[in-house]
Amino acid sequence: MGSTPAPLRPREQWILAALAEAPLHGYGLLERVESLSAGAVRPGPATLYRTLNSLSERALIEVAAVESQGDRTRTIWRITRHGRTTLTAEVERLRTTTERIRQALESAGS
Amino acid sequence: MSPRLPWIFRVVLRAYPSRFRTAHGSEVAEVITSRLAHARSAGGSLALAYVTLLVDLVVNLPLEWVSAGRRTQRRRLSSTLLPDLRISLRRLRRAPGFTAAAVLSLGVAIGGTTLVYSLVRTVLLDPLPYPESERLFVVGELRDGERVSVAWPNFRDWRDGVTTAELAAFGRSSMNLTGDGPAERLRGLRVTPNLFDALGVAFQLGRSPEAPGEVVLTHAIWANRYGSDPAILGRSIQLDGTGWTVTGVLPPGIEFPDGVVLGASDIYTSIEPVPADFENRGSHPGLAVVARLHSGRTLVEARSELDALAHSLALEYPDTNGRSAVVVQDALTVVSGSLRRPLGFLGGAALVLLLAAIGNVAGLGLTRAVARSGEWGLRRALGAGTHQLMRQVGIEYLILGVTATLVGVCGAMVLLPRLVAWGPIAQMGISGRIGRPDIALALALGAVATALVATPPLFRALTATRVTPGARRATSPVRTRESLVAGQLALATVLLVVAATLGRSLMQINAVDGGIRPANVVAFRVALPEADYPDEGEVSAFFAQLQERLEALPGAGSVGGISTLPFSGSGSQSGIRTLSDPAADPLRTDVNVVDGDYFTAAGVELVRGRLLSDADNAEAPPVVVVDETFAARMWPDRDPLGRSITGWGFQSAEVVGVVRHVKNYGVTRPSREELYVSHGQRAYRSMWMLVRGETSAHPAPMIRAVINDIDPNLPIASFRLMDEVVASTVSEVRLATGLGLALAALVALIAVIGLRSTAAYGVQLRVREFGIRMALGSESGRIRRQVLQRSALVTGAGILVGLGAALITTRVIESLVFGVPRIDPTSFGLAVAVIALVSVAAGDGPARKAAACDPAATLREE
Repeated sequence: MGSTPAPLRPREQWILAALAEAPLHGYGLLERVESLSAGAVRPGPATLYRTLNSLSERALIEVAAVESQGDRTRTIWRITRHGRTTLTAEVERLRTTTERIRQALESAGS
Repeated sequence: MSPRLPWIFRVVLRAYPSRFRTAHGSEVAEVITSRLAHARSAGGSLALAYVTLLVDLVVNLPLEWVSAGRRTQRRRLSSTLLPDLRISLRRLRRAPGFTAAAVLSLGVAIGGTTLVYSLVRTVLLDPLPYPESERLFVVGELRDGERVSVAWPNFRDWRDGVTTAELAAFGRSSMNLTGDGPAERLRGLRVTPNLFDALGVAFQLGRSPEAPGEVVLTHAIWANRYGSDPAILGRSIQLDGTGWTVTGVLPPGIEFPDGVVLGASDIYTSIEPVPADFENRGSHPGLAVVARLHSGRTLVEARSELDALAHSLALEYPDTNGRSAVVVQDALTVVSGSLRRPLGFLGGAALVLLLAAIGNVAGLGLTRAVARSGEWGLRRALGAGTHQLMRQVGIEYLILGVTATLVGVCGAMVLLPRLVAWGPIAQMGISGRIGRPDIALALALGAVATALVATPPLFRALTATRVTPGARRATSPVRTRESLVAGQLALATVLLVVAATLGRSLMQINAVDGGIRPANVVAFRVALPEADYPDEGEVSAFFAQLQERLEALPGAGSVGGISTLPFSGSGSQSGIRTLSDPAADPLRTDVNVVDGDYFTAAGVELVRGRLLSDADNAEAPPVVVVDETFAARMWPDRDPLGRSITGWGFQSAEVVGVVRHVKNYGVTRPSREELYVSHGQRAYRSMWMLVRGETSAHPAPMIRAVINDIDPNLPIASFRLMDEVVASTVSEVRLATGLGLALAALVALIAVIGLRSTAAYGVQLRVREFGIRMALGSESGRIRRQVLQRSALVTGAGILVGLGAALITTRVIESLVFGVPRIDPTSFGLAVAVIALVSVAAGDGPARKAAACDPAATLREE
């Protein structure tokens, strides 16, 4: 992966953030993302799993375990070390961005 | 899948790619059902939840298929392309002969073509370092049909009268630079202030020289001598002992090689105010005129305008302009004129090389394809599709093509600097660099060549039929290959004929007596500045001392000086008459001042009378030595000795000796009658000194030491070996001959490799037949003869076609050929002999192999 990864989509940021707290399966992840984002992000199931696919292809998350209960299987996802650094970098990028915008607003207001 | 999932969701989910369904299907279904249950129990809008979930599922469906497609593609690439690449590489490694032959022939051909194209591009297409150089043209004066330099008043009248273009004039004037480092002889030009505007050169610093005492430096002098000092403008520098103010610095890359419109120069000074003798319309003080067409105007318009001006000047000044005419040439033609033919020939030769290489590799590949048709048939029978076979063949040729192109481009990059440093090219001042257009051409050539050589094997793979193992090999393309080889041999014959003709012509040129013996002679120029050597006595004393010191050098033979170096491409002329017929038209004669033992040093033979000596000084009566052509022209059938001439400032001077004629402008070019005067009777400040050595050892360091000892402020311009000076007059012929021979040899080599492998292949196909025939009592000698006959037939056909083509092709080099007829039987014979001999040698190996096949082994196999 490159030293400056492409910015993450909001949905991806929230999923990584939720997984940064603890490994989760799909349904748990949906709930956690919704509560973390205070209801702002509510991905549909297809969107969620496609996003998970995409994140795992980029090695940002990985499968921690596959739980089987009768005919039901649940995949537990966790964040990778690379995912964690990418998310940290993303947070930093967002912070600088908001900081600059705030400064611009302030100087415009004064 | 959960049974509680509504059917519409089930249908959509089933439409997802199977990979997604297996990995996430049950979880997606679980999420959907829990969401729906949650909506129902929470009392919210069930319909909204329903729609939201459905939209999510439907919208993601095509997106997932796209991602799935991308994943499959990536997987296919790594799962089939890489193994195919590996297999192809392994196959190529297992056939090192084929691989090496293919890569080398294509590489050499692509590299050679790129190299020649690069030369053609720099010389013919893009030789001038000025913007819109196609609008530049050169104006010259003709007098009695002979090119002379432009008279200043004529230039002035043209400049003021012309509306279609801006005219600028310049003339050579070298100066000695002293101070701020060792003394240096600088090549200089005196220019009209608008010259740089006309050429389109923007200054790096400052502006044009406009007044006397102002000087512009080239970037190289500014950088090397003054360390790129940004404060150089306004600074005073010492030129010929007086102070000059720097007004400008040119950008880099404007220091053109000799002969390119301006000629190499280090400094530029203002030509105005012109010296008094410039105002004489009959004086031609070495001025050249370059012009830039105003936008929207054409060369034809400029030419008719200048013709009209010249005509009215001729009416106005019949004495000086009555027999003058004006000549207008576009600058590109002037620069590349003499190189057009040789480079055209070389371009054609490179193309031939490329064609031969393509033919060869195609032939080799076809053989290989036929040899593999058994394997391919087997693979087809086992279920391989034609596209798989074709892909593998395609990859193989792609590897070959890419490698060959790389080899060619790298080779060209390595060779070009060496090539342009090679005598004939270096003397023409071509700068060589493989640029972007050249690389683009190489890539295009590589692609086309690869496509061409891959076509026959690809076609074979396409038509590969399922065969049962053990079936005999399919019919052979021996005939096709033989005609390819014959074609290559024909091309090789043409090139060899042309190269041999050029080579013989060069030998003729070298055998011509130029009038001097240039071996082991070193020449250098000494110019004494007027500020340091104000009177003639000091000038004479300097040259006398120099002469004495140089003669004392170890290994030095005769030493002498001359005002214009023979074979250097320039001359100084004056009109001379005999005293007995002063009313006759003067004869335009090359006039020269000589000093010391010039004639002995240069190897100019005395025919009659005596040479000039130190005794012919200012106090003695004026005497001259003339050459045999002058004597024959002035006094046919009469003894020239004791007769007198007038002209070049002499009221009367007696002829005391006759020397051999020197072909001053090169042995292949016309020359003029010659006249020599002693330095003692006409002291020149600027002389070329010639030192004849006993060996070819270069005495430059010793000569520098001597001059530094006599006058440390006196710079010496570059040393020149006389045989190089002489050789430079025929550099076009040497260039065409050298490169032509090299290309001809390469084509011949490629053709011979083709011949040998074809013969070997033919033998391989018939080894069974030969074995059986030998078992039945046929002699091995007969079989060998038969194989050789086949090679000879192919060779003969190639040679015949080649000779026919050569009869036409030699027309291209007609202008380069000297002393040899254009259709030269010796060259034709030579080329035929070489091709025939080499072909027989190449065919002999396979023939021996055929003769040596073991009948017992064949019978056992049967």
